[in-house]
Amino acid sequence: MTSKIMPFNFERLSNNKVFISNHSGFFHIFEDVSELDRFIEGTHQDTQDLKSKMFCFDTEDEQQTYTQLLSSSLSYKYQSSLCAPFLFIVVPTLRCDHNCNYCQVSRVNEDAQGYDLDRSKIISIVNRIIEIGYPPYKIEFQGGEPLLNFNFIQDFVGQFTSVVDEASVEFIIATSASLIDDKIINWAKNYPVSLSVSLDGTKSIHDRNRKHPRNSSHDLFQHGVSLIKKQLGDDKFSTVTTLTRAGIADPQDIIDAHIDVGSKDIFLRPLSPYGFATKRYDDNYTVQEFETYYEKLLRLLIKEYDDLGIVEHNALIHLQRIYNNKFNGYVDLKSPAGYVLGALVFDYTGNIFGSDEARMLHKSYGIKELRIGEVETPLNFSNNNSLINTLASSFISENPGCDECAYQPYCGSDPMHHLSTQLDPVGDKSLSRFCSYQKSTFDIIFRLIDEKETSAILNRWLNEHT
Amino acid sequence: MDEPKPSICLPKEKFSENVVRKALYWFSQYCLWQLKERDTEWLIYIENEMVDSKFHFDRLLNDQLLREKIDIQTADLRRSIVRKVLSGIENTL
Repeated sequence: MTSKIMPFNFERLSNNKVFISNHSGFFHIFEDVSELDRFIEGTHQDTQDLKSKMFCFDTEDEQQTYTQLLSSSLSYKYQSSLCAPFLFIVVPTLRCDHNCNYCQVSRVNEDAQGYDLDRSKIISIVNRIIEIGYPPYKIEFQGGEPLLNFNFIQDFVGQFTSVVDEASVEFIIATSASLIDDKIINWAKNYPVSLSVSLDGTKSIHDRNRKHPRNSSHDLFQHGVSLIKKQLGDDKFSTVTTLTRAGIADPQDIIDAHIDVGSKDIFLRPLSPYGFATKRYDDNYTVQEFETYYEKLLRLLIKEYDDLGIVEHNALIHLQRIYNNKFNGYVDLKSPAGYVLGALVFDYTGNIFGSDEARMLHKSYGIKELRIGEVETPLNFSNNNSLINTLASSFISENPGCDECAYQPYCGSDPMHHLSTQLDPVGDKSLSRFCSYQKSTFDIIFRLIDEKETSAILNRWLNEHT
Repeated sequence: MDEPKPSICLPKEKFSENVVRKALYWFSQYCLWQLKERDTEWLIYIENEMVDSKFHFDRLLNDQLLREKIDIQTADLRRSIVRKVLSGIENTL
């Protein structure tokens, strides 16, 4: 019997195999384009596995059943994406004691005046979070260097935990760790606080990217992290790595940097087109260079560091998107976009934005539509046409370029990236660095999934971290 | 002045406008292009053509032809799936 095909999309992998996926996120890999062609023509010999994943059917009953199942799956995905924000970013200050050459937020000097969030706004911010969100709350302090306004953080956490059970909230402080001292550590012991610390590589690379006026940033990092780990514990510390030209030559460096501080969790992100990084964005490294680096890094971790249990979390997030239809926990990889639906940002000015990137674009270019409210006033989304239009155009199944992409079930929309680079929230995906990065990442991951040995280790990453 | 010669000519009977335009959409990452037409042909003018430009375009065109084949067979099913999704969401709202 000749099987007939159900709807699906395909992408060529860089090893000449062909990847296909459907609305449910099921996928299959053909050996080459001619095998795909035989499948489309109905002359493929072995369709059992493809049928089990609803890529083809033999009978009318099967067609109807698969249609129903695929639509249920897609419905579920959309409905679980249309959620209230789960991440609240609070910016206590734009001041910073570092001057990183890729800084996304256009920070100001640590002694600048007029760039701190006033403590009088704390109650209003707490009220806004409780109005919009629901437990468990995830509140992240960003900057600048948020610890430069530590008094604000102390008061905020105290106020929030006086109205919300501590078990229902997680506070994260995104910091360079340069200001970590006993006072901060002793305070943090009393609250559900963890620290997310920037680590760009071993000392020479880290210091080349992250410039401190008086000391080696890496030395300060090591001192701060040592205090965190000793007194708060390993589980209260995580890293974030921004990949720059300095680091792209050798992925071994970032592995060594993490081993040096006893960390088993790497979280790598490429440069973003905001703030100071905008000027250097296009000439920093190509997407092909990133892809070569990233694949080397993942293969190194899988082949050489499996016994140490080191995991790369950007890859893990992509794996979760692939294997878990429910997973919507990463703001940057959501469709519709995570703009407002994933996060809200309370800026040092008292303004509210739908993402950290929107905050940065508002600061850099003064795009007033990106300000969706201010802390003293309850938010009203339904009258915000600009917000509604941005979200309505962020369903990637309807975007040109994305509508035929086989990575669509797992990918997301980034209207702020495209607004920054193409002055349009949808953008031309053929010219989109966001699209190229995501396609490269998925290409690497699916090729690793297609290899038995690497697939087993990626499965273990998933099982141990979900 | 002589009319510039198109870099690529595609017969309309073999390639629909949709297929050509979608292939050109992704071709933008390689070079600038312009699409014109005659009665029976699509005419593509490529700026700053490189050695492998036509190979890239051929592959993109081939992929769009495959997608068109898939769409011819599955468009109704795709619409049916989306209709069910929308009605499910409507019921929830």
